[in-house]
Amino acid sequence: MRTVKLRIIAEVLRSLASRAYTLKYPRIASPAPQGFRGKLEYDIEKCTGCAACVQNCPASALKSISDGDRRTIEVWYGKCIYCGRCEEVCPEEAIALTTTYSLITGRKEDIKSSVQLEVSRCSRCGRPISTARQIDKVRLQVKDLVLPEEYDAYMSSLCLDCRKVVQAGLLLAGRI
Amino acid sequence: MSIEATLPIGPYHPALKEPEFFKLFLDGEKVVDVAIRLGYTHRGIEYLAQRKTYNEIPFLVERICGICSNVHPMCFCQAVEEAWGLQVPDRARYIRTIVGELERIHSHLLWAGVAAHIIGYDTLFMHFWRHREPVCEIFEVLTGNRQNYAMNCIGGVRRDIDPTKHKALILETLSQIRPSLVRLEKAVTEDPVVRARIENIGVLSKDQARKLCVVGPVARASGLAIDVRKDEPYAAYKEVGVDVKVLTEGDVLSRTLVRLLEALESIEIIRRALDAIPQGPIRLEPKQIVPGDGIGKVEAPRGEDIHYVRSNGTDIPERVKIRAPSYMNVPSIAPQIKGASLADASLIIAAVDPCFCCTERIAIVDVKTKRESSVDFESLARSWRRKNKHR
Amino acid sequence: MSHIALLVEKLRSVLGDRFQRYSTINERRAYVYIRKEGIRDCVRVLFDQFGARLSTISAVDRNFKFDVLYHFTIDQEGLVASVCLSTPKQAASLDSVTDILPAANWIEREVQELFGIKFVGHPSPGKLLTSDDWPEDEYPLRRIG
Repeated sequence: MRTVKLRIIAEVLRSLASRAYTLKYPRIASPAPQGFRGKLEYDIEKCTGCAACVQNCPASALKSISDGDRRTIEVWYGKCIYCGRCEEVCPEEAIALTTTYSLITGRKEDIKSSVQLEVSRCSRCGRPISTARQIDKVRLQVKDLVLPEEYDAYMSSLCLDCRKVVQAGLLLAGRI
Repeated sequence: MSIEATLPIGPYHPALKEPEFFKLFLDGEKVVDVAIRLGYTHRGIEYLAQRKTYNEIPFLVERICGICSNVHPMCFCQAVEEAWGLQVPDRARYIRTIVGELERIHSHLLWAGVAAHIIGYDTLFMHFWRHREPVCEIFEVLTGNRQNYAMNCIGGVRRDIDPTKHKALILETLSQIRPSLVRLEKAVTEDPVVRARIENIGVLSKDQARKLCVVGPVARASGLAIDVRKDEPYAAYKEVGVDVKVLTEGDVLSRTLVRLLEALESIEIIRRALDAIPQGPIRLEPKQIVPGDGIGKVEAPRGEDIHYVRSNGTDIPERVKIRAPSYMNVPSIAPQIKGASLADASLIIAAVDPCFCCTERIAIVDVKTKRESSVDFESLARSWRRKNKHR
Repeated sequence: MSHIALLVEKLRSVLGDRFQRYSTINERRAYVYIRKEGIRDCVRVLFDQFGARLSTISAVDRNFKFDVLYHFTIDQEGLVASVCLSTPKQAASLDSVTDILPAANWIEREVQELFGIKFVGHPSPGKLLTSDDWPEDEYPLRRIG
């Protein structure tokens, strides 16, 4: 019993000599370490609106809304589980998790965030194809692969259905 | 027309930790029987998992339990890897081992603190949790979160252990907490008051343990030398090795000791794993979904966790069956608690380390008077402390 | 002789024509297919003679029948021997093994509650996971149609 009492006294002295382990948060800031999976943020310059993040989100927190001239990719922070799958699958590195963990807010607008991208329309039928950035990106890749005289700027501005019609017309007219 | 309404308190209540229902049948001060009612946190995880793609399921099963949050995704990924015939890269196996052992340390310290709180030794509770905190900080730097690590994926792990940043932090933290853990273990075993409280309470014999197929520290404290890490080595346990702790008395003290000794052993396993971790990729992309059956088994802090996955070739599994370790351990409360005094009841329930750590409410039925009354966990613990103030 | 071969031989001799076939993918996983009438003898052999431990029971809905797998772990060999049997979906029933192996109590109750397979001879069948007002004949994991 005596050793126990001595040990307790030693522990008390040890505790008195050391600093308190707790922080008086939120009076004192407590930043999260680098690599913490916090609130996700978009880089509007890089996003092409491909919606890979939307397809791979396990919690369905990301949504893609297309309405004619605009595609909106929206995140609802209330549903987000901070897993980082969106960051993993984005081909443009346009979405990343920051180290912000405090999402308390009194405003409803703060819990949703979105990027909006312009959508290109087919130059023949006028129906929306995809975002302008995505089409430009594909155009650049195709231009790298074909000879300049083979690249047809008009065909690249058509939607899939119109392309089939135009190709069929050219075939019948013996032009190709 | 007047409508009478009653307001139930529990199983769900802001003051309660996890919902569960125990009905104790008493004769005087002695417990003669117990009825256990589950189901308050039944969320239909298997049903959900059978409607999600393989990539999404690890994030779902991670949230089955907050304390053993690495175990379920790892077990699921192992089951799928067995069904599809995937070989996980070596470095990924070592990282899974390290994360699993860190989780074991933090889980056992959490339990030890809660058990200390139940017997009224709040100072010990604070000490255990203070030394658990650096482990949670390691997780924050290593995986990005204190819980729900999102480390495991089918084919490996998602994040690497950086040899400059992470390895030094892990080794330094473990060196800091190890002497404290040794002191705390002595504080439990050499203090006569604590020993009197937990020795020879809630005894589970080896035969009873075998018949009830209990797993984990509950089994190892009753003389059954079973540990998935040794019997069926997964991840990197074959290379790293495990020293399994087995005691034979089967009481609450044995279970406490097994857990604390395991936490100390985990520190050694992590050191060995960090020493021997090979270079290489951490993730393998699965190329094909193969139809077939797969079984994943992992030693969670509470015992053997088993997942059974049947794949039918599509990207949604045909069947996901999950059996967490506490499912086998909680029924063993019944033989342990019969004959115990009411004051020891709360400790016996907690010593099994059910993943629903505390009961919402214990209903007490006096068999002689057939009167039923309700009491909550806190007041049971307080009544013991009041009765034993002289100690 | 490997442990799986020993196990299969013993089960074959005890079960006779109730033993159908077996398959393995490696030395740690064995799947033994039996007729459902043989489950009690099978459990006796595994528990008493091989020191196996019941890990869990999985049931799979195959539209016209249920596949039920009893996963037994033999710790010393690091082996999981899954005993697989089927029962037709209409009036699905199996013999309970709770009197031989008390650990099967809650496990069988869960399968009964989620799939509607009746375990004949179970000492305390009753709700375990679903709420008290859940309809009697609705089984959450059973496929409809």
